[in-house]
Amino acid sequence: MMNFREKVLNLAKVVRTETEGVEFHIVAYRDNSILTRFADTSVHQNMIRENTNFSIFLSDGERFISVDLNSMDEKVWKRKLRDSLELLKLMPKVGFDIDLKEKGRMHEEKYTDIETLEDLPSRTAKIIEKIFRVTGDGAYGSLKIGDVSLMLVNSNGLEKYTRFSPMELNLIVVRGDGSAHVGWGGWKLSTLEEKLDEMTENVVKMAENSRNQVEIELGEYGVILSPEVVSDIAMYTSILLCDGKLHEENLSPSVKLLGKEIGPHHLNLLDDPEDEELIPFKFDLAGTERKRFKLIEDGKLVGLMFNFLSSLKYGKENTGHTVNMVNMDYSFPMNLVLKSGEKSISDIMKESDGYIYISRFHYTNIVNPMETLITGLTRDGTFILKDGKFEKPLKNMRFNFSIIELFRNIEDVSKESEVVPLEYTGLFSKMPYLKIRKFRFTSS
Amino acid sequence: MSLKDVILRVVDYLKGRVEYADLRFEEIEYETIEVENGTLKSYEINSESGIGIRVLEDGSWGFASTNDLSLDGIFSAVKKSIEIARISGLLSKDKVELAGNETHEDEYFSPCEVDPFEIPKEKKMELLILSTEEMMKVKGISRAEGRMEFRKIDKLFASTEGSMIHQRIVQSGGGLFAYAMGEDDFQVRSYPSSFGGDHANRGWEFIEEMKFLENARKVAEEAREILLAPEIPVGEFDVIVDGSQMALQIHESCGHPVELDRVMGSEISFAGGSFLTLDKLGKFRYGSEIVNIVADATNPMALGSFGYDDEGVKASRTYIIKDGIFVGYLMSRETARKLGMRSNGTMRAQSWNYIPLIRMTSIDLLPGKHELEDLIGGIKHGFYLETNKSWSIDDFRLNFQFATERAVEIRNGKLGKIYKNAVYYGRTPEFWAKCDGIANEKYWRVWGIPNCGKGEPVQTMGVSHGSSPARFRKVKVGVKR
Repeated sequence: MMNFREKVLNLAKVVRTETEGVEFHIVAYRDNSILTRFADTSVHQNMIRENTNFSIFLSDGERFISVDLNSMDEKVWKRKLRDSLELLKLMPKVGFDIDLKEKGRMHEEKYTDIETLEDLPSRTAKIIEKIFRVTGDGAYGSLKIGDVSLMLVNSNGLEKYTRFSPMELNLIVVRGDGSAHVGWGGWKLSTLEEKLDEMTENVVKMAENSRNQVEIELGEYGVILSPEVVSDIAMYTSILLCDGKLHEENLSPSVKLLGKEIGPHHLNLLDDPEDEELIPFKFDLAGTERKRFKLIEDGKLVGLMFNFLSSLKYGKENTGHTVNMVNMDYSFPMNLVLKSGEKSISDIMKESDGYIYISRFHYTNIVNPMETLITGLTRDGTFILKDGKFEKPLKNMRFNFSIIELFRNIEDVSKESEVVPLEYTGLFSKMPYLKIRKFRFTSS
Repeated sequence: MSLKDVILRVVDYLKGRVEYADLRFEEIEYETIEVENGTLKSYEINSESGIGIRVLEDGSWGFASTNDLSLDGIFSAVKKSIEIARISGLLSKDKVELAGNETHEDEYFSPCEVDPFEIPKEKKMELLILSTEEMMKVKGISRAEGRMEFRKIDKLFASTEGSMIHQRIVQSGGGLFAYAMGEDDFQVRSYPSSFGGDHANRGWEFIEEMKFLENARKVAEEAREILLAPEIPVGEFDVIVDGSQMALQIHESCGHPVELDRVMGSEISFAGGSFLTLDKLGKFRYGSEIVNIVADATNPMALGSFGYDDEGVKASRTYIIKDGIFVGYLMSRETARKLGMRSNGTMRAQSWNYIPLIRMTSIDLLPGKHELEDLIGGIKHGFYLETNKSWSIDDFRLNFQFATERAVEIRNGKLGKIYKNAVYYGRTPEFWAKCDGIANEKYWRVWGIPNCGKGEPVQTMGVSHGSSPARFRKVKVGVKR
């Protein structure tokens, strides 16, 4: 029986034969995943999902079309390709040259926990059972284990393949009116198993501490932001300030800020495919090799991301940020890292009487992109600090802040960093804690 | 062997082996066209098919899905669904029981006068190209976008209880988006609504009725007008929220909190819970006496409608809020049973590869009695807020903040000056208690929202909201920077 790579190469032969004279680029994505969700210490959803999807990008150099399908049947492929070639002729010219220049081979199965994948789903059940034993009632969350194979083949000789196993734990413990959250991301289940007890005990402790929440007067406070919160901010930063297409179209504040100082000298935001703690993506979906890419360096905004199409349209280099061959609007950093600082988080907290510790953001959204104005709410553990400890748990509050203002108010970056899930993306980031001088809470 | 025969064979296999099982085979075609500044930006044609099997074994759920539609592939998924249901049983507190449901052997086809997949692709592109070119003629417009999306879903549902239902749903939608650029600012104006435009369970005729080309210039001019407008002042004002923004107001502050799975805690770790707890059913004053909201999956053209949900429950229309009192949830067979009720048919999955969840259908604010000009006439100083620009609400659906593309000042009962960067915020029951006027059926229409997200992995679902403009007194507007 053919394995995934052989099947894709076989289908690529079909494309090569059926599309003579036309350039093609295939993105083949197989995702076999198991996801267990639980609520109040009881499993309510348990799923095993298998799918293989193919995106075929066809171009005659002046026009393009994209066809997606999840069939492995050669006959279906031939029919779709014949239809697509007819359609390609009807497409208007895009106004720039489309060159599928990437070539070369790379095969990598480095970030796959094969042993774990063979032992599912009983091993995930054991982890959840262990969580339940520590938390007792009030455990809510999910554990996802993926087995992803990604392969790119194009008409220019490109053949890149990687297999990885993204894993994500999301755990909330509820105690009375309080709750606390911990998120873990990685690719080796044993890493989670080793620290599971400690993580779970800590989140239970934090949930206990968050009971009997009080309200405080709205307004400006100093805050300490958890790595998960910093991860949200880093993601919005990349979207609002580092998108090459928006910059070229004058739709980003980067037009005025590129090359300028937007934060303290120890603020360094990277897209780092060399960081082995994350699942490093060595190439993007266009097959472009990904290198360490600086978005903010020593407090200055320096990096603009371009993807396959936006780079062609604006005559720039593809910076390795293609997450979809046909959507030029989204350039995305797949391995976001904010460099850590020098002071420990416990020392930072000791110097932060009256500051508010925020564990997690909820439902953040952009209010005004040119002002980098973001709104959202706190959830699952917000505390006033005193003597380096959580003094009082607080009720959730809404905030509105400008990312640029927030960067200007960074007081400290912690020594410790954590790998956390990057919300909604299935990716991970590595983030420290941030201490911010002024942060505005606007409603409750 | 036909697919229907295969499904019947699988159902026969599952009968007697598990307490309950259902299978969903789906074949979906999509087409997405994006045009920017008169140039084609992307043309995507997608198709997918697969099967999802949900089994209830010894009181616990298991789900498996596959795109391998060979007999071996399907039976392998069936066995996985049973295995994983048994594992769930080891980690579940309570045994799942299902509320009763009639079995159905039926077909349902959503209304579609003209199949959008039969319309020549050049014609679709041309409409967007001409419309965006028209928008670009307006001075100061730096980006003009047009978008269309079409979807055809063929779904075969079968259950061990004996249901066998075939549904075909055709969805069409799209919109225009004009960006006006200033020195330090840009403003967007959308038509007919933002974030992908308006969508419905209809064919190409829906696109034609939106009259993109005829509205293109107006959208662009309004974008320019907003750019040049002053910032909305901060304060407490009477506001009228237009129909398209009302759709999102209903969605976030009513639609989500009445999802009974949220209320019972299964979404707490992700999207959150709900303030509409079980003790509030039938008693809680959600809004003023004129507020009446229904969940209606029976309006055939609404994006949130269907013939049967993904548990084989027939589409229904039920009250959520009646005369301001909270009276009903969106339910599944599992959650309804816990309340001793029957499901009102709201379980839906994004596609074959996802487990069904309780989803909004068409959550509609019923029309009131007022003429729109009377609503406006009753405001001394306030704003008419149009078209959503940003949204956020807390994890129990109480504290919300919305931004709209445009605010039109109302002074002494007359519409006047345009303002930009409009933001309003409040708390759900207090806000709805301030509703003192809803425009009548003349102004009422259904808005389709194609991208409601819920669950893990996140499922995107088309839902809809009927509404006419409504008036709210003393609402907090603007945000202090």
